[in-house]
Amino acid sequence: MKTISLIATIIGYSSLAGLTLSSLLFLSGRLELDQTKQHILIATFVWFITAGFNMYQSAKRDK
Amino acid sequence: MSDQNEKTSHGNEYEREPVPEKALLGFKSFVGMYAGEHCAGTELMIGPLFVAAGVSAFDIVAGLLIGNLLAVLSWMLFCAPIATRTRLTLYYQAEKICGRHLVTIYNLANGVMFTILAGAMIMVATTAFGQWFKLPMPGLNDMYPNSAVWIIAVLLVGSVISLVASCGYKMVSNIANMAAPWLVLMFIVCGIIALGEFIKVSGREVNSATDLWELADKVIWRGGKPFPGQVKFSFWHVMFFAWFCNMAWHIGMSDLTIFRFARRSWYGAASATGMYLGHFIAWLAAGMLYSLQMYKIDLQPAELDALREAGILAKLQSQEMILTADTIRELIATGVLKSPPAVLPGPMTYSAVGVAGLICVIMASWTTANPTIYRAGLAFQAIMPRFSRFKVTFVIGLIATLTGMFPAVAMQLLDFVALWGLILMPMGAIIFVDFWLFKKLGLKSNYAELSKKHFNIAAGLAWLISVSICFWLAYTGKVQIYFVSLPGWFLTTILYISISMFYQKRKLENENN
Repeated sequence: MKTISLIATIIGYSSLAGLTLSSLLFLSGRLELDQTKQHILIATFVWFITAGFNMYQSAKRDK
Repeated sequence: MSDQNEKTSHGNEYEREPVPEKALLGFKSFVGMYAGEHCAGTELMIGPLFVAAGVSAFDIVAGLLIGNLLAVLSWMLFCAPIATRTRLTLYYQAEKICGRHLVTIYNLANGVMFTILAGAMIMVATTAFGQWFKLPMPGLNDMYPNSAVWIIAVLLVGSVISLVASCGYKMVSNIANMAAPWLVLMFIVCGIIALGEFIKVSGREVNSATDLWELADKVIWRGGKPFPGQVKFSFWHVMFFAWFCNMAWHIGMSDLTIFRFARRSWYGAASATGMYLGHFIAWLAAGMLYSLQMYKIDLQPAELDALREAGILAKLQSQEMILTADTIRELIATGVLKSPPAVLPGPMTYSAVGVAGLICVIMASWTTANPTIYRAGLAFQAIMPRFSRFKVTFVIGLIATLTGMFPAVAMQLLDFVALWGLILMPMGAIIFVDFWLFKKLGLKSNYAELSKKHFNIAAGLAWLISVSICFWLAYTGKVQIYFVSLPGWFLTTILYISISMFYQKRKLENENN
């Protein structure tokens, strides 16, 4: 379980990095606004799924 | 919010005793807590209201840098040193000085303010649903709800938030913890995208810091007159607002409850994360989103016809006309606009980052409204202990919901926040003087505890007189509400010392006789 949690943490933080990167690509003119919005939405879902999973795991461990 | 904040917000740990050595926390606990707490739903309103108040780029950047520094120093030099020496909650410390009855009045005032703030956050959350379901939304200067649909929407959102808050704090706290890093980044991302949009729509090239400053100064924060119905903000307004918007927490000593867990008083510096992420970057980003609306106005066919008739459509289409205070007045005069564009976080973030923006608004306002309702519930339950926490919190939530139906609460957030600081600041002044000066002046500290009184008249009078004078000064327009708290602090200290000298001396004489 520890390994899965670690993987989830890495994926979660990568999604946050991706979210920021998308906005920077838009700023530099390399990404259209609609594409950027899609990337941000996907990154948002990934973050909440992985963070939610980790929270559930830590609650289970506490019990 | 950190575990430590959860602990302290529950208020069930070391409530009436100093925090022991084993329960002290490291610097990192405070860093995370402040960063999370100050990237909240309120930031989405405050940044745009600065734009509506006609701030210039220099005023906002310099004002926020200095004002936030003063706020951090206030935590470090006013609040944390007392907290780490007494290690007591604000309520217990205040009870020792002022007596239980005066603390009850403080609780009541705090509870009312928390309820109004929660109302504003419920309104902010409703703007996200409003964007989703295309509901009619209020204008910037609207005082009352402008449609039945709006009232129903606020009622639905508020009822859900109230129910969750009544069920307990833990779940909300967990979700707030989970959302915090994402929320902070979303505020930054909104700012980056708004900047990209500005570069696009204004046709300017940004290749250097000078170009960026030009864009900020000439396009984003243009200064000049405030929007109709708003107060003009200068550098001083921004600086004092940034310093005093959390006045109740630092100079007002509310955060004694937090910093009593700190090992060292310099941990007050941890508040810088909240100030510079939330009250600098997030305010600037939210302001940019609102300013962008002035560029990308989405007009209906009827409004376009009215513009054509007024002969200003061509000007608008060539983007020579940006919504400034003057053009807004022109558009109101021609009947195109009813009022200046409202600060509606839902539509603002949706236009920049799409559906994720709506999620951001809902999360930011929900995670602010919930603990706020919970805290207000605790404050009122302390006054009415025979009612269950569930019932009290739910009723408070419903009152907050009713408040949220009135757009004035959120649209006048700058004034409300300043008023909050003003009302609760005297308690901080009283604690400060009692702790540092009383012994040096030959007066007794913790007088209510010492004399076994439930109401310290000196503290009560100092509070009442200073707030009344400050309020009168602000109400009559002699001193604006954003500035009045500073002289108010000195007034409270002078009043508390002088009345205590008279009061304690007379008590001593009576006892000797």
